[in-house]
Amino acid sequence: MKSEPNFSLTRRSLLTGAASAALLPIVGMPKAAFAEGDVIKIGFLAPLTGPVAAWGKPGLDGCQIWADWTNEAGGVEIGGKPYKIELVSYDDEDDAGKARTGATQLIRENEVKFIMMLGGNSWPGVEEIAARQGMMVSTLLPSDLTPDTTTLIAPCEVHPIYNVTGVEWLAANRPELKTAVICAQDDALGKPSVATYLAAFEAAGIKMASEPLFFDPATTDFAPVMTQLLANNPDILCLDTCYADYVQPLCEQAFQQGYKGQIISCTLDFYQRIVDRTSKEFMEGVIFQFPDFDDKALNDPRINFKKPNEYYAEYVKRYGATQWSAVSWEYASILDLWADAANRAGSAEPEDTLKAMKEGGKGKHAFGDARWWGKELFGIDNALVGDWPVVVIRDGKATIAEFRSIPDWWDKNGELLVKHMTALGQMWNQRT
Amino acid sequence: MLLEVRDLHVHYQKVAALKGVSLQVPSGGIVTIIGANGAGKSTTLRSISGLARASRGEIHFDGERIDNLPAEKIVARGIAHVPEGRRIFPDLTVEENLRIGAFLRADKAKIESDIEDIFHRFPRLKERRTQWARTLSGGEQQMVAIGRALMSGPKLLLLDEPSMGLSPVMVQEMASIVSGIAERGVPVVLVEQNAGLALKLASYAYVLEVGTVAVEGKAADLKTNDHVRRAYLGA
Amino acid sequence: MPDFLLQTVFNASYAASYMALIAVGLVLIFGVMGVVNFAHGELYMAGAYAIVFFYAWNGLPFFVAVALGLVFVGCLGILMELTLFRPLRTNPLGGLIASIGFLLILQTVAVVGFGLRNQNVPRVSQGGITVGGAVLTYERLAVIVVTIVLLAALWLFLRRSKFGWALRACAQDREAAALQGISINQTARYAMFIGAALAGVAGAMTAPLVAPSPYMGHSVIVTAFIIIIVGGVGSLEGAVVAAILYAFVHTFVTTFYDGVIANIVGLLLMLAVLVVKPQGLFGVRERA
Repeated sequence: MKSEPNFSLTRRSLLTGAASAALLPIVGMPKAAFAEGDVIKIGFLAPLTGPVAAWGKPGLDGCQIWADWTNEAGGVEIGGKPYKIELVSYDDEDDAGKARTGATQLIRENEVKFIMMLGGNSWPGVEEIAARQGMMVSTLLPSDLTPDTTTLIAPCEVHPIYNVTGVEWLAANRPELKTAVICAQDDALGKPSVATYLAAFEAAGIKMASEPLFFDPATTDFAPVMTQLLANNPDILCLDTCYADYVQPLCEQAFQQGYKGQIISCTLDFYQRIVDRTSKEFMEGVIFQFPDFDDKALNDPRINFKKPNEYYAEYVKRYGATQWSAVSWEYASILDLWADAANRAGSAEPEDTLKAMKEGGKGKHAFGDARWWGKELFGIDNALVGDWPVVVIRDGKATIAEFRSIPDWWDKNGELLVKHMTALGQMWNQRT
Repeated sequence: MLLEVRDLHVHYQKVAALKGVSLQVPSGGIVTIIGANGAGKSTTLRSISGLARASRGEIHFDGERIDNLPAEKIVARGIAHVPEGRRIFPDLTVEENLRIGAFLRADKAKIESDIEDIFHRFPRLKERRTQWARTLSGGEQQMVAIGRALMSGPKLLLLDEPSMGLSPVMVQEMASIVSGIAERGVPVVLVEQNAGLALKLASYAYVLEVGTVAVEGKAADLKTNDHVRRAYLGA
Repeated sequence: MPDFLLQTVFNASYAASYMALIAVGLVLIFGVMGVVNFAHGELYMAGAYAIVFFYAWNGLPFFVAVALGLVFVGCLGILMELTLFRPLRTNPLGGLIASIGFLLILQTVAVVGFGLRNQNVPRVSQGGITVGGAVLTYERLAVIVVTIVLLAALWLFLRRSKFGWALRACAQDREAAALQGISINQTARYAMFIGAALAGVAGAMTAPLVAPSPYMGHSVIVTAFIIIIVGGVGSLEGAVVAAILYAFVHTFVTTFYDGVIANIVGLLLMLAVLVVKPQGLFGVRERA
């Protein structure tokens, strides 16, 4: 009898404590000391570790440069007031489950106004909460877009559509090459890219010497894979969008097994290392889609990326030239678009900035004026598509050969792309 | 006394297998330990040879205390143990099995002559010297096991149930082998379930029951002991 | 077509070599310790990181780095014997679980010491031998040669030296071995050193060819287990034969079809052997 009150008291205080703890995230943690209204937080939700980190972490590093420069210049002016930009990052390890946790934290706890993602494997984890909260999210992979993803935009990279430019340039400059083979890891990054290359090769009249080779992502020894690829002596070896950790051993194997043909790839991350491990002669003329930003061709007035050469210099200074990857500048260029839209809208709220960004169906893409596009392929016009550079390795250095128009290729050959995407199950209406 | 065991207690987990066993082995002849299954006979030998830990008690051999020394040190002091079930090395040849008995010896020439001596005593093994030991019959394997133990040049031989699983003819052959060993100057402690055989071979006997020595005495006397006769000689 | 075949043979020989080293090491440990060493893949990884440290980061000559790696990983094996397997000798399942714990520790040390990203080890040599159109680089050839040398040395050691005999006896019947005067503790240490060192050398020799990562042990341990099951869990010869068989089957199927099918075929091969001869191709019978 005597112990009962004690027991109930303990239980009650336990329940009270638990309830308070549960309410805390909703109520919010105590605010920090700085004046709240002066800072806008932008979320960076991408793989910072793991096999795909090369397409996340360098982007965050680049965004930090953008944020530092913007804040030094007084911040972004929105509705007459200057705002500092603060980046909040979360490592989603290219995993949907972790991305869901990250998105929830960024939206609820950090109150970000915009989330930048790599997309692909991680997007399905974020889709629901982004829609529910009306949060604007950017992805580097337009293949994430569907008619339902109204707040998702692909304003910079149009992977894998831009791959058509490389093939087009190749066909125009080396018409003697007639056969090709292609390989990729079997996942959300590899497959749509294969479909695009197949369409581009077909449009250029290049025949596939064998079926696309989807290799086991756990492969460490690429010798058998390369032996299979080279079996029919293809003129062109296409490495598709292989991760950084695959592209290097694949090139090494091609080199060691004596391949003398043309290599084309979407990304060629850390290509200097590949040149070191093979040779300048071997890598001469390799085509891919991502320039080093110290390239003088980027000083052309139509380029909308601010101060590309200085940006590259700063990046190299902070992180080293060997850390420059395909994404080092892309997320920063999205921040350019966002800042411009927020400024025009006079508001940083996601729905306002989104509306301003898409106004007039046109936008200032990094590589020039572009249009919002994608209904036929994705069911929604949320990809900003215009010109894209074709990059060729010359004497061990990546140089821009030419800018080519993606919409022009689409107007001529669109149905080929739809055909191949459908065949590989990559159309928006085929994916769950 | 060559070997003295005083008040030996052995526990497996919490269960007491030996609850105070004492025995003495002189430096010649055959001493036998008989008893039913589970009485503790094998455990006694295993404690002497170092395969089992004594929780209490003392074991003295040749003037030295050896209880709870590791097995390899006890072999080095001159005790060879032929365990229950023979335990020859199945994937070594007959000759290799014998040779490994001489693992701790360094006298090459004497090792060679000892091997030939074993083959002389066990002609059947000589025929099979390059065969894998696992291909031999039960009796032949027992001979290999004994030969292997003798190869260490022991001062004392512990033999655990050499007659087990053997045909009556082989049992007789085994008996003569065991007496032969003692005659040649190596004392033997013989654990046997075949009490009749054991009491015939040995000069002194201990009867183990449930972990203690129930009866001991000259083998000839125990043969006429009522309890022993009823319990172990089937009379 | 002809050099396509020869190229595949070259590729398969390379794969067979380092897998043979790993599998033989695993069999040695299992045979003598009676324990399944789940951390064996991480010993391979440790050998690879030894090269990262000694060769890539500190510029020592490659084969000096390999030798240091061999000793280092061998000592890791002895550490495992002392701290894990010996205290748990009466509890093989406990030893298995402890080895999983050790695996996690090694992985974490690798991550903390070297980071999560794959390491790049500089090329040791650029050339290779060319037969027809098929190329076998010197680096890969070296793996094959080192494997043959080490396995031959091991064979001689097991047949000729006293410790070799002790190892074989312990593997067949530990108590009987003790009764011949063989020190189980010392034999176990030798077995762990050699078994671990073999895995370490495999890792060290292949480090310039694969990009070492903290989790690289995972793929080899699965393959190693398949190989020793096919070869017969107690048999060293079986491990070598099975490694060659598995590597050739896997490489040929990967080259002519693809890697995922090759993995499936490998497993089917294991199943087939288990159905026809459950103790493995060279299987040693159950202990008495």
